[in-house]
Amino acid sequence: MLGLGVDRLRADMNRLLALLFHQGVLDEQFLQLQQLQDESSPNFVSEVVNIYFHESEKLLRNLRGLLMDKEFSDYKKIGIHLNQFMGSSSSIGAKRVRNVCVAFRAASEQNNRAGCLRALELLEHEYCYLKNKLHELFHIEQQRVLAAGVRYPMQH
Amino acid sequence: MLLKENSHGDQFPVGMQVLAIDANFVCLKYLVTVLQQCRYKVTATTDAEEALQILRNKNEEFDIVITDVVREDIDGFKLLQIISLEMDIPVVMVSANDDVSNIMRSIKHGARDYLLKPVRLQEMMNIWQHVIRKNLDNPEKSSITKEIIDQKISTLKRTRNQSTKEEDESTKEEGETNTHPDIASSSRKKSRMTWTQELHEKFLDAIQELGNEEAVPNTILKIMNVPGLTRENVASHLQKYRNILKKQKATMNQQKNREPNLNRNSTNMHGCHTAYQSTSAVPSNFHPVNLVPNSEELASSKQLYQYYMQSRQYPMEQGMHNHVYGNPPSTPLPTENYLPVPDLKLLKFPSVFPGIKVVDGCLGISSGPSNTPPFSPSIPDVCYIPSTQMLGDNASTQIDAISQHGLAAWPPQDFGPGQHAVKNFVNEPGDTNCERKNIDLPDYMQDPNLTDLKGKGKAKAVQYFPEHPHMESGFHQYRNSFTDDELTMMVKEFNDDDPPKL
Repeated sequence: MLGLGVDRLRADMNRLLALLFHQGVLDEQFLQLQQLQDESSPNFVSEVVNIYFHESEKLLRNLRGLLMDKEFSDYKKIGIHLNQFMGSSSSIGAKRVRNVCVAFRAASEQNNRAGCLRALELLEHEYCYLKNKLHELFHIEQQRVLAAGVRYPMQH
Repeated sequence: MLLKENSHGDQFPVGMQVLAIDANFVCLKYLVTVLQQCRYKVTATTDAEEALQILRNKNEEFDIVITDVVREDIDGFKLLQIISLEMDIPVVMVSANDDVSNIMRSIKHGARDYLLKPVRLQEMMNIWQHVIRKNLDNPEKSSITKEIIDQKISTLKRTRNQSTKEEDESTKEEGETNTHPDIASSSRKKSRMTWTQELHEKFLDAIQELGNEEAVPNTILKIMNVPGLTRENVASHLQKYRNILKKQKATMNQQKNREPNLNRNSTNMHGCHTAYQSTSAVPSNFHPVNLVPNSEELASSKQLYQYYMQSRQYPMEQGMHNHVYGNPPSTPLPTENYLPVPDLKLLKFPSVFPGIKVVDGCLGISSGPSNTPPFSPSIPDVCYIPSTQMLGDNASTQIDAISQHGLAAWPPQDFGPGQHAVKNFVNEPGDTNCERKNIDLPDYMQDPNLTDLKGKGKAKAVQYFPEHPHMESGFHQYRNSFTDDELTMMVKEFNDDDPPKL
C-alpha cells in the first residue's frame, strides 16, 4: 500500500516534470541540478530553488520600481538586474524565464520603455507559473519521501 | 615539474584551490556545488571587494579565480584587471551574457576562459588546465618573445638602457617592479609590474587627453586612476613608450632617406643605431601617433619638408612603417624584410572582429545598437501564451500581488495609466495594428520602429568595420599582458594595422 503510493507519487512527479519540459519551462539544467543532489546535500535542489525565488522576487520588485519611476532612464541598471536574473534562471534551468529576460534586455538596450514594461509583465507571469509548478513538484517530492519512509531533515 | 607539487600532491586537480565570486547567490551556490563535485577546494564570496581582500591576504594559496562579469560594485573586468595587475592567477569568467563584445573584452583583459551560465560540471572538471597552462606559458612566452624581439631590434634595447640612464627623470628600472611587499617577496609571481592591454589603452587615452606638453607621469597617473599603479610605473612606461616611438620615427626617416639605396639591409641597421643615439632626449612636442622628431634629426630642410608631408598624410607613414618593419600578412605592399628577423607572424595574433568597439563603461550591457545580440532565437519561446488550464487549481492560491498584476495584464491590450503615458512618449505608430494581427507575439517585438532600428543597427555594424579608428587597431592581439619589449611590438602594430595607402 505504502509502496503503491510511492510509485504513484513518483509517476506524478515525472508527469509534471515532463509537462514542464514539454512547455519549455524547464530545461536539462534542472536535471543537472537534481544530479548534484546526493546524500551530503539531500535538499540541494529545493534549497537552491528557494534562494532563487527569494532573489527573483527582489529583482522583480527592483525592476518594477525602476520602470515605474516617472523620471526613469537607468537602462544600465535594468541591464544589471536582468543579467542577474538570467544568470540565476539559467543556473536552475528556468528556460522560459531566462528567454523572457533576454527579450527584456534587448528592449532595455534599445531604451524601449514600453517594450520593457511589457517584458516585465511577461516575466512576472512566467516567474509565477514557474514558482507554482516547482512548489507543486516539491510538494509531491516531499510526500513521496514521507511515503517512502525516508526522512531527510527538511528545511521548509 | 612546473606544478606546485607540495600543495597538490599527486592527484593534481583534486584539492585545487579555487576562489569563486558571483554576486548572484543562486549562481554562486550552484557553482560552489559543482566545484565541490570536482573535488576542488572552494572559497566563495558574493562580494568582489571581499574577494580581493582574500586574494591580497593569502593570494599564494589560490590556483584559479572564477568570477562573474556583471555586478554593481566592482565588475568582472575591473576585478580581472586588478588580479592580473597585482597577482598572477588565472581568471575564468562566467556570465549569462553572451555578447561578443563582452567576451572580446574579457579576452583582452586577460581572462583565461569565458564560460556561459549555466556552467557545466564537465567544464569545471577541466578548468585545472588553465593552471597548468599558466605555469607552462610564463617561461615559454617570455623566452620566445624576448628572443624574437632581441633579434629584431637589438640595438633599441641597448640604446634605450643608455638613454634611460641619461634621463634625469627618476625612472629607474626598479620602478618597474611591483611595490607591494608581499608580492615582491613571492617567488611565484612576476616581479615586474604587468602592463595589460587595458592599462596601456588607458595610458594612451591619458596621453591623448593631456596632449604633448602636459603628459607627465603624475597627471597621467591621475587620469588613468588605476588602483595599485604608482607614479614610477607610469613614468617608466611613458619613457619606454616615448623612446620606442622616437626610435620608430627615426628609423622611418632614415629608411625614407635611404630608399633608393639597394643595400637596404645594412643601411637600415646603421640607420637605426645612429638615429637612435641622436634622439636620446624626450622631445617636448611628443605625440602618440605622429611623433615629431627633434630638430637635430631633421638635418636638411628637405627632410623637414618630407616630414611634414608625412605627418599630414598619415597613410603614407603607414606605408613607411611597413617597409621598415616587415608586413603583417594581409598587406599588399612588397614584403621585403630589411632586418634578419624571424617571421613577424609569430608575434601577430589574428585580428578577428576588427570592428568590435569595446565600450569602456564598466557594465557589460552596452546601449549601442551595434552591440545588440541577435535575439531572434528566443522569440518562439517567448511567444507562449499561458492558459489558465495550465496553471492548475492550486496556482491561484500561490499567486502573489506581483503575479496577479502580471496575469491580469496579459495579453497586453491595456497598460494602465502609467503605461499610456509612456506609449505617447515613445510614439509607436502601428503598434495597435500589430497587436490585433498577431496577438501572441509581444508587440515590442513587432513594433515597426523597433525592427527598423534593428536594421539600422545592423547596417551600422557593417559600416563600422572599415572605419575603425587607428587608435584601436593596435590592440587586436589576443594578448593579456606584455613586457617592455613587447611594448615595442605593440606600438608597431599600432601603426601597421591600418591599411596602407601609398
